[in-house]
Amino acid sequence: MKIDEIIKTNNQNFKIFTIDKSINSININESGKHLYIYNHNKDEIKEVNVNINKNLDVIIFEYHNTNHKILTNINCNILENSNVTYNSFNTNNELESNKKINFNLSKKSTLKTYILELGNNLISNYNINLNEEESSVNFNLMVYADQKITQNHEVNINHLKPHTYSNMFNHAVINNQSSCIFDVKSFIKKGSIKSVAYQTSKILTLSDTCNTELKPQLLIDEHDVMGSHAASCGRASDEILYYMQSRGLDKLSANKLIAIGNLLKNAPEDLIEILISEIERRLTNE
Amino acid sequence: MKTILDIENLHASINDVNILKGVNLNIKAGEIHVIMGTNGAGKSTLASVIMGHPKYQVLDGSVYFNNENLLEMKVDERARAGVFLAMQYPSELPGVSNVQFIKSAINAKRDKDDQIKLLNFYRIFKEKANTMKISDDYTNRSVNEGYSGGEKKRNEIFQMLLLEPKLVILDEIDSGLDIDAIKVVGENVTNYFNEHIRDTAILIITHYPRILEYIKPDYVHVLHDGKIIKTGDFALAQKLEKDGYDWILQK
Repeated sequence: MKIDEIIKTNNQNFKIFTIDKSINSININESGKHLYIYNHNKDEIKEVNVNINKNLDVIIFEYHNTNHKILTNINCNILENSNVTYNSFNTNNELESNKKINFNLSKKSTLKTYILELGNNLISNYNINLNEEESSVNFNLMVYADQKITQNHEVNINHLKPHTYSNMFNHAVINNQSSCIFDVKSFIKKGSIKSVAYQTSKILTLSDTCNTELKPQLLIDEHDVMGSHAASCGRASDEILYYMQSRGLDKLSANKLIAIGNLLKNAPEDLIEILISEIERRLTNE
Repeated sequence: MKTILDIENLHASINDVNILKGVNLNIKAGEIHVIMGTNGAGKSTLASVIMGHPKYQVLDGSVYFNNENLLEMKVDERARAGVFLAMQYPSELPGVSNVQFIKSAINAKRDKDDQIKLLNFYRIFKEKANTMKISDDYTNRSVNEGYSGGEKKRNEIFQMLLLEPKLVILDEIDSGLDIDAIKVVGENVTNYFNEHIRDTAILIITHYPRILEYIKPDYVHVLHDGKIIKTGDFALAQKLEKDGYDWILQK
């Protein structure tokens, strides 16, 4: 069963939007769950504007499953006091896809993302603008790449007003001759006092032939703020593997568990099982 | 009773420093052995060598587990054969949930067509969690991540109960445990041992006899400078607690 079918099965009262035109506008005026299914059938950019009205609780699932290029340019505007959960799953097999997503947050609005990239070569660019006071984002980006796939992700979180909050969490698991770039930036701009920016990026390598590039940046142009960043790349430590092996797991199974654990951190609970089997399938090249 | 673990003349080193210098130890099913000794005597090294930690080199001697040559087996093969080491410093596995980890470990011991059914697994998991007094939120927490020292040790015993090993090695399981937790750990290990006494043995490494009030040993050995220099019963552990090691080392 495909991820979108599981999403539909697990969730009643879903509003489904099929995005097949080149320019799409979606206005959300009620709380609820939404599923966006992208029909990528030509080499054209899908422009999508999503406007989420005030005081709403909205959960968005976005699913790309296609043998065509993904070329998207999404603008998502979240108005005052609205809480948005944005889940995106990509399993496309076409080369050189390109995604660009801008989130604009208004006063006291929140955004939580879980973006899982399991597809082919991809360049993505995420811009999250915390435009008004007390807006906040929990950004989770998870990537798995195998063979000779290149995944290039740029994430910018801009704190533009006081009392804004961001927590960015980027995890990748890469294998064989694949490569992954995380170019990530949290920028607390002048005037954004009492803002908080946390950032964690991690690339787990499963072979010696993969390439990683991590560019964690924390730019702070204001006093009286909090910020931290952590970044690491490399294999699972020998001690961790020894511990797992001492419970009976061989090295391959241990690495598989670590990879799944890394990719599913903060994943939607009701999709965990299907995501585990999807990732396992890729890890064992089935 | 059949021999579970048979160690003869074991020599082992780490980074070219000899730690074990001729250990001999025979443990039969239904027996509880204790190793005590000063810091640096080689107690944890012995546990690690039995488990197969790759950073230790075995220089000489033999280690047989249920008549199988343990030294020819990989770490995971030893574990699947029934050796379990409750570690002094258990690793944290960020992102790997307890449920995923333990279920995978149980299934690793089983044939592909005999994998544990999910409902059955959750029933046993819940039952053992209750006996170990482990809270409900434990299920989806990452293994040992953010745990206190005591919680990690409790988790080691919890894993032991679910994996049902034949040789249980407890490396300073009592360090970091509060009084109540020592009791919970001690009682659970004893209950497990009594239920599996026909084909199971326990090797405890400790500095203090308190845990032995709950897990009654048959033999207490003193390890010094890589060799077992004295063997006695529980009374020896009590004397060491009272008088220290000087009286043995001076002989």
